[in-house]
Amino acid sequence: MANYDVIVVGAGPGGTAAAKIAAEKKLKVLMLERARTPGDKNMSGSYLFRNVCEGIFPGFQKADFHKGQCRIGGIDFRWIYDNDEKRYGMVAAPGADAMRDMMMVYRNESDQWLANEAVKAGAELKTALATDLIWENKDGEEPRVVGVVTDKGNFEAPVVIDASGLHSILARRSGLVKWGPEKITLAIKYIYRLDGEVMRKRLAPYVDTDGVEVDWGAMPTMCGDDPAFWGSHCVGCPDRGIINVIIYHQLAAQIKARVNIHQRAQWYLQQTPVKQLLEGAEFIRCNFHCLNIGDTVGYAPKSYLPGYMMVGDAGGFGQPVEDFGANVAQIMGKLAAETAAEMKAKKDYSEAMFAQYEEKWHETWILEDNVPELNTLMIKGGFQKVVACADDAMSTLFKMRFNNYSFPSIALAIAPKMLPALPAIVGAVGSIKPIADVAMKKASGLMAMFGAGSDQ
Amino acid sequence: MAEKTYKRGDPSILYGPQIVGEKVRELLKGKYEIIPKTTAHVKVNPKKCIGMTCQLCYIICPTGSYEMVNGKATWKYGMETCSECGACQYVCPVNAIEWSYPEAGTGIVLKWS
Repeated sequence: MANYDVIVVGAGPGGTAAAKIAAEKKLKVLMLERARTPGDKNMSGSYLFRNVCEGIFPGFQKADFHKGQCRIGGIDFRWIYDNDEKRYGMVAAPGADAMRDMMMVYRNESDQWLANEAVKAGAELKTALATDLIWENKDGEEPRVVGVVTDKGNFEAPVVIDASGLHSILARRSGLVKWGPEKITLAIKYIYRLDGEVMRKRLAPYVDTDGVEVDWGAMPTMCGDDPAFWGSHCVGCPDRGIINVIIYHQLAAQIKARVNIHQRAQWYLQQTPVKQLLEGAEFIRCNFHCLNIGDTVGYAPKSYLPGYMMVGDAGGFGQPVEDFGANVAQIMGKLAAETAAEMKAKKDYSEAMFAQYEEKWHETWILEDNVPELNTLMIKGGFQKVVACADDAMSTLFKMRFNNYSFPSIALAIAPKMLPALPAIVGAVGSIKPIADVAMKKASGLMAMFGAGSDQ
Repeated sequence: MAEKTYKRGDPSILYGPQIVGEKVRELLKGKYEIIPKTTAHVKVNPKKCIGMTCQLCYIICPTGSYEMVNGKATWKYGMETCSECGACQYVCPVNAIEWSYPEAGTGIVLKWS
């Protein structure tokens, strides 16, 4: 006899969305979280998405925990430096109007808020670690999941929604998921304390008057195993008086280089601009996390079994291009909960109903970003060559702009620098069409964001 | 007795001086909080471990939880240092690492400020 209608495993963005929607639809929901309080174990997912979040959790934008956060008066800048300190690509996003849809959050505050909303809607929150699935084998039927085993006892329900993240033990037990080091990015974060006013002064020269964010050289999906592009960036938050130094890279590349990530971090800290920023700052904390490289290559073959649905990172689902996943998880969580509600209404828990969940999320924009050609180009193709050339060109651009050169002369100076990348670009021509399609979609989205309006 | 043979394959100016094992633990001492755990949630199977020819868990662990002991990897310091990041299970080429989370309500607490 089932005790609950739905068990949601994990109280992150995906799990809380699922629990809240299910509870609102009058289902009896149990949400399991292994940390003392939701968000306790999380350093990542620093961006949540305003529109998606507000749709599921009305009031999200105005919640208390946004106060004093980086989006407000915060400056996020990234660079990569050559050893001779000649190259620089840089970001300055003062409160970033350019990325209005993204909200930077501290997950140990936001997750708690999200979980509270789910509890207010009627979900039950329990601190327990789910370690296995409970299976039911009936004659003539496929085995189905009927509950979870935890360190606080067994819980039964006709529907289990697994939102327990990248290392989901349940997903592995289900047999749907098995990943290698090319799927995983390891990230560490050094947190420094520094007086807010001092920080503001130091950050002043980096503020781009246009307020446009230039992302540069950090994404492991793009940069492959070239250690020159190991992701490294700083986020300074004057209002809180803290600076985060974040270093991350694909495990497969780390294995190839046989280098510990702290080794790279220590190198990064020695780079002049980082040194200048951190002078006198106190190293107070270190955080750790593994991230999902969300490309289709590593997607689980399917997102459901009878009685079981996977949400977000648990199935490796994410956004490969932007390297975000919280929005994907929230949308999937919502759809999983809606499917569960339909099942209860129809009293039909057949496999076909669970298959509907997959159909539903395949219809959203989530798969749009996943163009296999793009992934192949990024990881195996000539993309690193292109990145290297563009790096050179960009550093020239930055230098010339700082020295007030005119734009035509800048263009003339950087065009030849892209020439060595031509063969790689030509080689990729076969896969250009689907990539261009994605680029167009992104561009029109961005235009709309800037208020330029779409062409409709 | 611990023996360390790890050498960086290609000395590169893109990395700082070698930091692994004990040096990582030294660097991170007091920089994060762990609620005492009751059982070891990570185990290395010594029969599967290929030891000194590999050393990957020892090299890559961001908390220095692993140590090479008698030519085999062990999760020697994990109870005090492991951050549950999960990297080791993907790094091991022979699947010698049995990985799980610690029991609910224990283990690392991550903070922002």
